[in-house]
Amino acid sequence: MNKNVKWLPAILAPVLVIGAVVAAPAVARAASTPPDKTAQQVLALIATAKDAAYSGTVEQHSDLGLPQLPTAGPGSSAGGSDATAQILDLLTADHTARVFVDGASKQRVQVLDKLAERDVIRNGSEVWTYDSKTKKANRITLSARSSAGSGTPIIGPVPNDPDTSTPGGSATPELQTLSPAQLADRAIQAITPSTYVAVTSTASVAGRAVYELELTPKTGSATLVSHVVLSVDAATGLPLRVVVDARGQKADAFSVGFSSIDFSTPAASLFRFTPPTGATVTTHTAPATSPTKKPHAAPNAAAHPKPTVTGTGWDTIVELPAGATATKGSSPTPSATQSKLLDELTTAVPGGRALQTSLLSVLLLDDGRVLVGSVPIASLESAVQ
Amino acid sequence: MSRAEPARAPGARPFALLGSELATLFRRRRTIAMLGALALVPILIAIAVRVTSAGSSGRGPAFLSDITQNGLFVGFTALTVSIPLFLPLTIGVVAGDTIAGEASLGTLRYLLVAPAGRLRLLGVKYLGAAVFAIAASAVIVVVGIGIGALLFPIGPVTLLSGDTIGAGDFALRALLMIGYVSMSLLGFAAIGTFISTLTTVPVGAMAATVVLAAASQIMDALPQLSAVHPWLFTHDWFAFGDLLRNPISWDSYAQNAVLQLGYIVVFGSLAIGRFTTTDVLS
Repeated sequence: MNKNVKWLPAILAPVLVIGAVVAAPAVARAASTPPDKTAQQVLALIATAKDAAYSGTVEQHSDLGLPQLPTAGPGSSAGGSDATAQILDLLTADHTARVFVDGASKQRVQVLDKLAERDVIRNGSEVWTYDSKTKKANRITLSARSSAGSGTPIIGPVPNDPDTSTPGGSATPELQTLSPAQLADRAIQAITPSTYVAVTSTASVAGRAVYELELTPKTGSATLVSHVVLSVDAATGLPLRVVVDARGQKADAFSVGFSSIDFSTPAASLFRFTPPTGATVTTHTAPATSPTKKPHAAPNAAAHPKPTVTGTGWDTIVELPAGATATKGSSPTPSATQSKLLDELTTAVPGGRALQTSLLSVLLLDDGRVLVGSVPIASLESAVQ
Repeated sequence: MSRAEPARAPGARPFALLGSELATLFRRRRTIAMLGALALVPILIAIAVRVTSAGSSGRGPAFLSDITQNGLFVGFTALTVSIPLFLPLTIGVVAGDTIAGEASLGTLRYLLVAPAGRLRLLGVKYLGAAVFAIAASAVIVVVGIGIGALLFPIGPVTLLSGDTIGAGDFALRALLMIGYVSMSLLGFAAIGTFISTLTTVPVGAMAATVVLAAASQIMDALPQLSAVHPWLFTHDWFAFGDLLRNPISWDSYAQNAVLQLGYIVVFGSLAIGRFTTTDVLS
């Protein structure tokens, strides 16, 4: 009897710990539900958040059905310097980044690696990048035009969404004169032919009440994307999380979002960067006109043939002609390790090699053409003819 | 605590038992040898880098390539090298020895004759292991900074974020780092103390404790087990690098504190349950 009493703390302790773990998120989730809004209103809300000042932690997680590599010992260079391995690391590994934003012209993004860090610091027209592993710093001076442009920092790879990127990319100068509400209307008009749009307002991200904008492709099984959920902070209109779900996969294929956020202005000293002694500094100047303009593109037109786009909406297939990819890297033949890794990732199909991830399919044809699309491999193969 | 204390009224000198335990622990030749071995880690690293004039950037353990430019990084490199094996090994030896060591020497029953109480004895034994954890990480960092300052030029320290800090800020961060590393070993020490109450063979308890640390680190390296990663007591061991960012990332500090507290509560109460109910025969 006495012995049983003495074991009591040992029995209670795990219960207490598990109880605390279960209860803690429930307490944090007690955010109030914001008033209902239409998809247009939510999009207009996003456009008002352009000058917001905040700092927070962003987590990126992907589950693309690619092989996962064990992360080795202390401070090991995961992936090393090999370009293919680095891309693989970006796609398969999870990343945590800290973001500091003060309006449209001051941003700092820190990608937190194990005992290492990669920084991008923007202060007005001056942009610095710094990698603590290689001790390399880059200084890029933006022209007045490009620094006045869109102020949203790009955190990690942005999901490849043909519908939302098309209207923004082709009509940037025109869009700047539109009001947020007009902008939202245009975006909705562009999306609706191919996509169902729904808004819910019960969820919360990083302890903040959010509107969830859910985009579901109308094309059904023609695309690999099951749906895209964009979570927008109800109070400030800041997009807090993007989740892309793949067809036939339970876990999120790709998600990037804030795990914590603080809407106070970050310290000004964070945006002033002086390269440390011992770092290699390279200086670049961004072209005076935007790179898509003619004068810059003309000399390279022969070397970079235009890609062909077939289909519209979610099942768009992009075909890069032969030579487009080979000229990008300076060496036409990839290094031995690179091609070996590529062989392991891809499977042989008639006429070339194919890479199938849960969100994206890539078909590398023997004649050098490359087909990319968020569609099954079979659709890519039939598009070859 | 190999010698029996003379009986004394409890409460008269509340820290007498702890003081005597610490004095015994740090007077042992084994403890001194282990701290000496830990001090050798930064010394060997510094001499090796000095003699061979460092490898290329980006290879070897983190911060290794920084040493030639700034000797203060020796302490951090040594910490990176010691965390996976040497630190858990020494803590495992001390924590695994706490109860089982006394039992195997036949001194445990004499300790319990003194009116200290089993609960108090267990607490003092655990605190002894915790103090050793602090001493171990402090030895690595302090000896590392010392030998680095001796063999290499020193100057303002470049953080992982690329920003530079002065001497005062560096001293503060080095102290925080000692605190972080010793804190992340507290849960591990609690596991060792619990295993030590299970047996009268100290070597068995030490080995089991060290094997657990290795097993936990192996599990942490397998992405397929990512669901259990946040629950592993070794998961945040390398997050001491977050103290070298600008601004300091406190998330991992807080997260690790909660995690270690959970391990201390669970394994501490298991140790209490075991030690207060067992029949002490030796």
